[in-house]
Amino acid sequence: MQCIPQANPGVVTSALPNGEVVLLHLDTKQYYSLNRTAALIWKQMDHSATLATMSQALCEQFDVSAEAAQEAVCELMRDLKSHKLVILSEPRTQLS
Amino acid sequence: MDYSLCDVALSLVCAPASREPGIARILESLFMLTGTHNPAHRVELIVNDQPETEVSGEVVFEAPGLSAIKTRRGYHLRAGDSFLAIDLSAGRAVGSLSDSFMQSSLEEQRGLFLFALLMLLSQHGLYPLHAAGVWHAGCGFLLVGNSGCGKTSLTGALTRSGWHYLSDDSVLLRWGPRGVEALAFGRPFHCAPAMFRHFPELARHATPVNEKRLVDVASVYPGQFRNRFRPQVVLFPEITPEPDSRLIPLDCTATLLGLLGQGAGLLHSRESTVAQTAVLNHLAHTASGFRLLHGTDVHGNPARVAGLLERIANPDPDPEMPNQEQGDLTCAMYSAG
Repeated sequence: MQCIPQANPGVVTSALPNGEVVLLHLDTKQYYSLNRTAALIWKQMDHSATLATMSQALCEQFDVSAEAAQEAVCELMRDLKSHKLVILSEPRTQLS
Repeated sequence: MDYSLCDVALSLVCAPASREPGIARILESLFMLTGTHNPAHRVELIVNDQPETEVSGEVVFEAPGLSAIKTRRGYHLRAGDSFLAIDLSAGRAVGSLSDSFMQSSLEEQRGLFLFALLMLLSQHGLYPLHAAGVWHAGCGFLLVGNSGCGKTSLTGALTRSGWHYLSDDSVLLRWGPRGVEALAFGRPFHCAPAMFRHFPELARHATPVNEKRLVDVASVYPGQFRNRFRPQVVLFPEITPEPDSRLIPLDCTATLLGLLGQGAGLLHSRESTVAQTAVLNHLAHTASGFRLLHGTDVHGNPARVAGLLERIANPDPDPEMPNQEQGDLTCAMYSAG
């Protein structure tokens, strides 16, 4: 849960006023829509959030358990990764 | 020779100069050129007899009679033994047009110039959308969709009913002072021969080409051309065998996905894609989107279709936001393209 997902630089994000997000992958020319829940997670990537931070944000927004939020975040990340929309990286180790 | 195309100056330079009238005639037949121009925005089309250099790169477009290779500066277009090399940052297309190209049909000549001009104009904030445009009583409608979805039939039926037309096939979008504007770009309509059964008046002005025929509609419906409007309704037509056409409302996400499907095909860089997507996004949430199930009444009773569209010309701007704050953790992702 300490992975930091990052949007693939080849993806153009378009946020709509209804809270949903549309993604356009420049290489594949495929486009995707994210509902408001998925969009909430996607927008966390602007802040270098870890998967744990994203789950926490979901818990704050919705009345759900931490386990359910973690499961939702992980499932979305698997989907996004399979479409090459995100890159998952481990957090940097602190240098002493 | 200087023209204006969608408020961008277009300079045509030919060497030898004797070739200029022939090329000018082609451009004037295909595009909505006017004599005035804004010198702040300029593109150049230079035709000379320079030899074609060897070009390698990714082939980004290939169709019978036209191919496009992505190059460091833009694109290299080839149509038979003719070519145009597009330098996007210089705003210039330079190349050679063979005698056989000059003697080919207007439709065959169209692809090369269309691709070159669309790419050059995109550098000036003008983005192509595969859409027809019609205007009536202060409301601009875009009919967005692939070839064969009924754009030309609907445009013809509504124009015959007294509506104004912008285009039957493609428009350019840009930011205007009050939002997104759609501008006329191409001149003739592209009619399948079967269409003339319903529109015999168009057949008399048709230029035969391979599959579709180019029709100079300005001669058929004089005074009904409109060169721009601010779209307020976005329609996605689909031909159905039903007798009556009907409308199905779309939310702004579905409207944006539909617009991306017809507007994001010819993109050069991330920057231009971001800018084009912003224009489409604004259009998707400021205009009302509908699927238009296009029935047989388009030909049999076009007044009914016109009435149907008049009823949505000024829709209630009350977007009912779905309330997803109830603990719904379903992360939905829809893919298309």
